[in-house]
Amino acid sequence: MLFSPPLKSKEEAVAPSIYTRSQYLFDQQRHAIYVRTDKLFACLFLFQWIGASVAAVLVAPYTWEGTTNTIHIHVWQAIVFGGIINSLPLFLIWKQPGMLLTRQTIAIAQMLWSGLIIAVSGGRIETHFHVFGSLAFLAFYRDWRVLITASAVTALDHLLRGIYSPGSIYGVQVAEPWRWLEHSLWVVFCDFFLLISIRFSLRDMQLMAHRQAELESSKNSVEQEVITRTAELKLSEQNLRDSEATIRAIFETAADSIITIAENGTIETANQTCEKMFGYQFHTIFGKHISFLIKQIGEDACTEDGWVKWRDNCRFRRTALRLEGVGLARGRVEIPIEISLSFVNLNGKKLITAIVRDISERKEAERRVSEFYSIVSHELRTPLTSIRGSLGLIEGGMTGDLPIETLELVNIARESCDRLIRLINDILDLKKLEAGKFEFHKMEIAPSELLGMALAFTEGMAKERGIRLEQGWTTEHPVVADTDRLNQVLVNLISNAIKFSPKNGTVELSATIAENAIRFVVRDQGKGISKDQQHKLFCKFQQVDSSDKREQEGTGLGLAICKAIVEQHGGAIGVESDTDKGASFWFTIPVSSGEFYKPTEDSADPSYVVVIDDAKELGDLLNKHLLPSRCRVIHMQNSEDAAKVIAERVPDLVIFNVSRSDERDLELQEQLRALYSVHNRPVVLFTNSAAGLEIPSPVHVEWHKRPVREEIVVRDIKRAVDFSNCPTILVVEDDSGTRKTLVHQLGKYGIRCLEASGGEEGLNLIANENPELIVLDVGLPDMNGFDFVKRLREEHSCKSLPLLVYTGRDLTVTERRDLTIGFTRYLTKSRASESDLVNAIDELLEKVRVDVEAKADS
Amino acid sequence: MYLRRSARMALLFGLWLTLLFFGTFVSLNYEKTPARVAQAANPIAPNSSTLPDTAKEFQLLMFAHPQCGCTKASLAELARFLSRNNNISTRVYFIVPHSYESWKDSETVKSASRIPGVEVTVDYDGVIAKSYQAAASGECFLLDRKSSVLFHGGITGSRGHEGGNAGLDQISAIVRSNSRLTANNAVYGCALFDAKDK
Repeated sequence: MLFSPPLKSKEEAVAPSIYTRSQYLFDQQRHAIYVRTDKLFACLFLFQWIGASVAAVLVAPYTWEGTTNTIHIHVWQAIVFGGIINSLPLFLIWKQPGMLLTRQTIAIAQMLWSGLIIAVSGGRIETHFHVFGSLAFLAFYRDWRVLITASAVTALDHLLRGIYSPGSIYGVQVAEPWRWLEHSLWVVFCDFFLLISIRFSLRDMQLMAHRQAELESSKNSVEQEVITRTAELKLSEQNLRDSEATIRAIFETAADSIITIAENGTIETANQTCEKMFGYQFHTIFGKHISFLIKQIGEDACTEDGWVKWRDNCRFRRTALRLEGVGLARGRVEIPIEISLSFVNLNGKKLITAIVRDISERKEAERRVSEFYSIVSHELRTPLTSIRGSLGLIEGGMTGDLPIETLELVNIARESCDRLIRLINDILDLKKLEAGKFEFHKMEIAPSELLGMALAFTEGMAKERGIRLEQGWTTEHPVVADTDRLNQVLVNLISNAIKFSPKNGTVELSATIAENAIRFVVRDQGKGISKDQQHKLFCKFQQVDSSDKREQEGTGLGLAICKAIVEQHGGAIGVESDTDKGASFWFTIPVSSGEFYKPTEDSADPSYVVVIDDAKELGDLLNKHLLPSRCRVIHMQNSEDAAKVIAERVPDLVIFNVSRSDERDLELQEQLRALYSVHNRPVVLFTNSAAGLEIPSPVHVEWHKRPVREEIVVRDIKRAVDFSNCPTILVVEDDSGTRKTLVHQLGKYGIRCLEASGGEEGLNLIANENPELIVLDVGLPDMNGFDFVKRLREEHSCKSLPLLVYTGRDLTVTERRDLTIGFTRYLTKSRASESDLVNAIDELLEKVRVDVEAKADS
Repeated sequence: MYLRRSARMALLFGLWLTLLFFGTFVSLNYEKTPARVAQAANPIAPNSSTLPDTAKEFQLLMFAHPQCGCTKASLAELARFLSRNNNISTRVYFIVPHSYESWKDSETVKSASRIPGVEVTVDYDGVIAKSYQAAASGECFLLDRKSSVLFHGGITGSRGHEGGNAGLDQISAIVRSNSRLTANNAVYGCALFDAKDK
């Protein structure tokens, strides 16, 4: 194994291609060495041949016989015998260089040359060095086999000539029989070192071949990598070009203007849409300040200073800033725009990208939608309000007692009207909430007050259905909210709870503080809602039971509206429930950061109230509610005693629960009439029907059907105390039905109404009749409500007139501002109940009264 | 195809080896072929004046061709012998035909002249050589004081080859033993005379 190639290393084992390649390179190199050495030997053979011939000629060219000479046989020997020796190896070198046979023939021939030279020299020992020189020369092949052959030939030559011609090999006539062995051993000695040299040389060659193979492999890998990377790079470049082309196409064909702006506000790039939108060629706007194209962003003018503010605003935002504004097209034409500003950092270059959209059409559409809503609001709500009001009056017996069947039909009609109004209101509310156009009139309010209001609204419904409402622990920490809207949410949740609670069930209310929010909870004892149905509760037109057989009516919009209202207050809404375990609807409203709410003290003077009722129920009820208002309540169980008491001291108010016997008590009637006419004191009658009483209309503050609703009784009593003087108000309403209904409704409360069907007529009445308050509809035929108010402002005497705007439209803040004059309140038809209307009128008149007194005092 | 090629190569190789053997044979045969000389020389020197120095115990005469290359080997052996034996007077006769006067200045003559103890004498037209019946270059005669021929022959083992040989061994033995034995040996060298002169 001395001359075998190196064993495979681990690396070679795992990289067979390198090993194979190294073997190939090694073999190639060996072959090249063989061919090269063959050529060297060819030269050597020729040199030896010529040299021997020349030497023969020079030393002894002739052989003599006296004076006659012939060519010396040595000369022939050198030429012919040398030629024979050279012939075959030269032929093989020519025909098949690098082959083993050629090498072996060369080895034999070369050793024959050594033998020839030794022989010619007569066995001179010095010429034996030719043998060693020849072996060294043969070692050029780095092939141990040629050395073996050459050595064998030499040994054989020594052996044979030692026997047959020792003088020609050893220079002696008689040689020892072992002498050839001695010479051969010296040859072997020489071979030993040459073989070692060959081994090392082969190993080095193998190593170099292996390294070259590795290098080639690395080079191939690198080249392959370069090719792959180059291909990838080309692909990436192509993709980049495609991407750039795509982006450029998108940029240029985008429906919106895309402008990149430097930090200092100068325009750097703009797409074709920008050119079309603003009417400028790009080269005319390049480098100009953005204020050249944008006049206003949001509410701010886009000046150079204003731009800095928006730029800094963009820089610290993660998302784009989207605002409406005003653009300036060619000719300084203003166009409404929506502008999205975003900050871009491109390798240190800071830019603002502005995407500008022309929203002229959208604005127009919005205007049309708004107009549509306005029309719908007005045209639907106005007649429905009239219908409801009229039905309410008929139902209340204003037109006289109705047959039971008729009364039931009227009741159905009124309730259906209510439902229709609720549906319209819900749809309109939801539309506005979704569009984000719902305006909230937020104020600080205590949760307890919110719950109280909601309870007052729903108490009657609860009693009708035999449901008990219980208010649990309630925090006094205030929230900032739109009272009406939050009340709407609570009423909706409580109504639902009542509707779905079993008879004699309980609905619990609570408001607790939790994590900077007030958590309102309405818990019922209904059949609960399964988990898989809870997710659709707050969706539009969704009801847990949507079948035709469902027990409870509803539009399916209530909870969706509640969700929108709560979310726009920054809160959340949800439900916790399980089947047959009731449901807990909850919502949260962030707490107010202000101080705790402090309820205002009632500044009304203590009032002396006489209650005439054969039962104690009404007296207790009034005591409960009126004591906090510092009212003193005297309860009389019969009309005789009552007459005596009234005679002793004139009460501020008489509450008379009229019975059939009382209808015939002429003395009491006369006393009450005197009470009103002489002492100008109101009387409140509770009766199923007042038809039998002959009491002047103004005294009839309210008819209440039993069972009595506490909050309404309290409200009416409070109002009655203040109705010592009948106010005169002007109702400006183009819809005659609504107008008449209003007049009738207000007339019940002793309010004298002046009627005007248009603005001009209304202004004339104001000038001639001096009404104390104006109830104004916005949509008037000859002039709208805004113009009407504008005209009022122009009249100095009218500037302090209290105004109740009573319209079917949901007014925006701006519209409210434009409709404000002096003390002004706003009610929406169909949303506001009759009591809301009367309360608002009360409130406004009270404010005027307080204001007048304050001025008088000062 | 491969077999045909191998056969052709084998034939070629065989032919080559044959020629090599033949050449070797011819060479060896030439080298081992002695010159034709008189088998029995005169037992007494024909003329004492031809002897170099009779005072010495032995006289050695060598006849040589001035142009013979093989004689250089004989001269080399002679020089080696004389370096070890100084009781021998030695004379080398170079046969120079009158018409080849320049031969007396040949390289062989000069080299013989440089051998210590050797007296070089030109033997015009080979008169002396003929008197001794010498015929080949390198042919030697060892004589004692009485001019008796003790040895006759060459002092190389083959043509042109130096090295130990029987002739020199015999001369050495005669000189060393001081005996009167006679001996003959083959002579390897060029002919001294043309064939027609023999």
